[in-house]
Amino acid sequence: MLARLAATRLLEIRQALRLTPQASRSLSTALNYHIDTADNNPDLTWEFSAANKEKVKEILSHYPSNYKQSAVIPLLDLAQQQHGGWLPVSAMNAVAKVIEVAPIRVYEVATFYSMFNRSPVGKYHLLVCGTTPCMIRGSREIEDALLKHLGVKRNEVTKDGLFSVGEMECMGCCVNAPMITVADYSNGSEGYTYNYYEDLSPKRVVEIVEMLRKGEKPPHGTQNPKRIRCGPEGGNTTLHGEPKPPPSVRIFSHWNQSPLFQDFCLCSPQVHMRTWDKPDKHFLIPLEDGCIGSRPISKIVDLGTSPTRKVLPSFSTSPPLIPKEESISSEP
Amino acid sequence: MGLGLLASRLIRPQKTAARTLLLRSIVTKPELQSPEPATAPQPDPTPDLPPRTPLAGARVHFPNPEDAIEVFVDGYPVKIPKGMTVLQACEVAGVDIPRFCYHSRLSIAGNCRMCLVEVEKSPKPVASCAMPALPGMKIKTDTPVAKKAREGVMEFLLMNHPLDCPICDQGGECDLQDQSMAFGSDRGRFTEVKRSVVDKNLGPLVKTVMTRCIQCTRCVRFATEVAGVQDLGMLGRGSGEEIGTYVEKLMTSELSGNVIDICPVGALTSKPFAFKARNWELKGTETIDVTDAVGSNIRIDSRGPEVMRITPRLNEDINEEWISDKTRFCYDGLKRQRLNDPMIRSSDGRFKIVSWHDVLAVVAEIALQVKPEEIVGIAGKLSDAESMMALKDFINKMGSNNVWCEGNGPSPNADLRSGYIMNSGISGLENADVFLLVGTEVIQLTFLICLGWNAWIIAVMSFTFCYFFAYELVCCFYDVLNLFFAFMFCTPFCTFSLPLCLIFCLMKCQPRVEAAMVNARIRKTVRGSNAKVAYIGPPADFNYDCEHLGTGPETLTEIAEGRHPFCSTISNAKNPAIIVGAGLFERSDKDAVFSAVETIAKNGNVVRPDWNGFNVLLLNAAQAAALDLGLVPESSQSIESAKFVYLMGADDVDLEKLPNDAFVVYQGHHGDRGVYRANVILPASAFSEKEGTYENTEGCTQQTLPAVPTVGDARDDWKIIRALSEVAGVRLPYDTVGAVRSRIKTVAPNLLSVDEREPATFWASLKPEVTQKMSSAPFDPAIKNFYMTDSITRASKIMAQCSALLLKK
Repeated sequence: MLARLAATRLLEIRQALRLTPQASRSLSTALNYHIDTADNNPDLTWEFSAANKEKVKEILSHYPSNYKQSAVIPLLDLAQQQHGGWLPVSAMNAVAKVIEVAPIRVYEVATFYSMFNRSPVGKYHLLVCGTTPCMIRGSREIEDALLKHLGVKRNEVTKDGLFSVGEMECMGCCVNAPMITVADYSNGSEGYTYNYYEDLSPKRVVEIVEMLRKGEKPPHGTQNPKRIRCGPEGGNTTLHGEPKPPPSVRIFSHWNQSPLFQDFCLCSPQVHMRTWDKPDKHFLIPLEDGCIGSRPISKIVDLGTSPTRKVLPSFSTSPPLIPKEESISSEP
Repeated sequence: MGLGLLASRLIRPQKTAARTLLLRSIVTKPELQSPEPATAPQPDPTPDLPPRTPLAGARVHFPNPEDAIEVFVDGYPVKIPKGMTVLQACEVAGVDIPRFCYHSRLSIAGNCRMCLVEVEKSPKPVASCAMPALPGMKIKTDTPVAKKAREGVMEFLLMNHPLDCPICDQGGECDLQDQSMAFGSDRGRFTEVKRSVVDKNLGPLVKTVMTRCIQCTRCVRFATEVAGVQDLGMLGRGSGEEIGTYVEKLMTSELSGNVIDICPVGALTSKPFAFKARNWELKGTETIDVTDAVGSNIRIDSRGPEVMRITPRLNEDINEEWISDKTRFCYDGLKRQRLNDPMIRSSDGRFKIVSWHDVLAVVAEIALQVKPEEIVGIAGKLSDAESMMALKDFINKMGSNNVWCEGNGPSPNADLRSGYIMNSGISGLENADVFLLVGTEVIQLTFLICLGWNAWIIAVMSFTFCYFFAYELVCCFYDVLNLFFAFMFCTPFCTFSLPLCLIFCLMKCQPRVEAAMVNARIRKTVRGSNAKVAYIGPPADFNYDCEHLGTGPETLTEIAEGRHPFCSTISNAKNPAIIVGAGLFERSDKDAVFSAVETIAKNGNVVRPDWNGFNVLLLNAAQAAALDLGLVPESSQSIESAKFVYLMGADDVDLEKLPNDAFVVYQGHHGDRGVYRANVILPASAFSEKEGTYENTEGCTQQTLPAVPTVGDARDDWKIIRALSEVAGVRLPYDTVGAVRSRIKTVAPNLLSVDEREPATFWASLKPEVTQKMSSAPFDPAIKNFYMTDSITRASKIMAQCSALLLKK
């Protein structure tokens, strides 16, 4: 009874402490079902532009003619670029017609991928990375700065139709976190670019937005002038010299994985070793402390040229974990 | 399902250590917390294992005896054909594996993970529905690993499932409910907010509560594969995943009701049945459907005197486990517009209720007043064989031979049984590789879907393009349809031949509206073996690839005379099937049409000792039995001179030409079209209220059983006629159903071998030469409105909603 009360109380406290009671986070820009609006309904006609029709042909030529449906993702992407960054339902229908499938098969794909926007976005769609490294490095502040500067909510388009802010998951720039990516739909599918802006600060991201507004092209990549790409600030600190040749000892197999020494290795970790200069010879390095590091040469056990399971010493009885040199050298 | 068995096996007392702890941690069952794989070698399969029987009629069919493999299910050896899945092997071994997404008639999705079992030497539990059974596989279904896997899956499934079983219509027959009782934990660890999903509007038949959905995708696969309407899909991803149509779209399939049955939870339930009854209150009566000529096997669920719902029964040879929407939802028509009491039309044109005694006296008196040849009896499309036998005997005893069944036309051919039944059988259609549909129709939605198919055909075409001759190339550009046609023409010239190309020809035959189950069978064949379908008749909408050859008899003549390129397709087919719609029976040039079809059949080698592909697709439940019983009118102009017309449930007879002074008796269960002209009404019982024999379009005799008591003062049809015959002084010599059936035995003994298909013996080649000329009038659609074809469906509110919403042009 008491325990149940305590459990209930605990749950209450947990819920009270929860910061953003967000039941589900919408990654995409729309619901998973369509609502007819003036600019988005199946009755509107939508067609690929003349230039894009050529591209459609080119894309379709990548697939066997009886697997046209494989082209659904590239075609949806093309349609999205052509339509200013989002896919009205009529565009999806047009894609379905091109690849000769039922429209629902296209809707399934378009709703699955969060990069297909099914409601209008700005000409510059700003996507803030929200994954852990960026979040730790302040992506929330970046997003807040953007939203505050533009005066919009997430996934909302500014009044001038220029900007919208969305969230995206990891884009692989964790080394330069935090980052945003800008999908530029201002020049149609011909001038479509998709640029990363990394090492951002709330101040810098606002500057980038203002540059974009003026039609300038802010330099993409890291925004920290002291860094070159993802190199450390102030130049490289390591790997200055020429690369060295490989060490003379090649580790053949680690730990207990050498197939030759299964039973031998069960007792303690070992390394099975061969060397470059004598590739026929097999050695064994017992790792009695369980970690790899430099060892005195006396500890290395010479196993000869063709060790077999049969001749290997058995270590099933304690105490000698390290094989005696004699026991091996007595082999024929 | 045998889930009760499973549940009891799981609930059986287990030795549990005495609980010393007051509180149990919120985790799985303690004994499952650290399951060990059952590695202990099973003792050799010994004969002391109790013999098990396959589950739920699981059949093992060895197409090739060499392909048999042996697997061990819980140590019990079982022989199965190669290619079966682990789940099927378990079924054969008598072990029921819990499942949600797996359905034996749909493709395998493997996404619910409920069917996890342990397989020896496999590092993880495997999804048995998707894993092919391999020789010597040791499957363990009752081990801690398997149990824990199921419990975990069940916990995930229940995470977002609402706890609304008390208000859920699926409650009591819900797979999720049963399986969570059998395999689930008694508590979950999910403390967050459950997700909610917006309900979808799928039309007047299917109610959706999408929050209950567990994303098994059975409905998506059913709609795509069986029903052939690609409307449903899986939208979104992750926790936002939901089933839907994306755009607002009703499910315009004549089989949409079946998603209610296949939905393992309460996400898709019956809209008309919503909140009406609980399934444990219902009494099930296993009977058959009479709204079309297929004779689908159904169960009528009733509560007291009311039919609450209709669900399908499994019959592999007829309807598999599906039924059409008309069959499923026509039941509310049984409660409306019913005729309760005998009535006589008084001089002011209004009906007056009278007693049976009086009404029979009046009818008998008038029947005896008219000349015998002026007496006409017409059986309705829902009539059973017993009542038609009684009607024919009565009319004959009155001295007339003008008795027929509506739908069979003015001069039906009842001499050769092969001329009016489906000779290959409904399940036999699966062996056909080419279909020619003549005048049998599908819902006329649009031409759009046809366009979609043709586009697909172009895709196939371009593959074989190099094999085309210049002539066909011209054809290709001329018309997309010709393209398909050219493709078929060229197939024999191609160096590779399409595997198993069967052709069906349907003539004036639109199976989708005339017999939805037959259409589903054709679609299954088309999907399964790439059968080719060609069609002659009014423009129609098919849910499979279908070549529209033409609209009328001239195309038929061309094929019969060998001028049409389709001839080569038929003659090259292994098992060609021709399906002729029974709508042709009403045409005046029917003999000529049939002789043309028979010529095609002869030229195309459609009828052989091992294969009879000549099929007639009947429209009504009564037709086949009527022709077997010889309900053939003496004169085709009898209506014009009739003075006494006995309509036994016949509502669709053209009474325009009936003389004004004719006396019309309407005996039936619904106040439908026939009643407008009737002078006397004799109330009869409907198919759900009587025991009657029906023969379906393939010649299979089946019987209905009374599910509910009849309404008011209504009586069985044959009893009314029997009583009337006595009043009229021509007493029929039978007093019981058994006696009527022994009378039927003397006329058509096949009508007594219930649930058996009696194939026709003689082939139409015995027929004399036909001199009739075919008229050039194109074939008309036989059914205008799929949802309203007879008195029951016309009285049904649900069917009215369906035709208003789903048949929108």
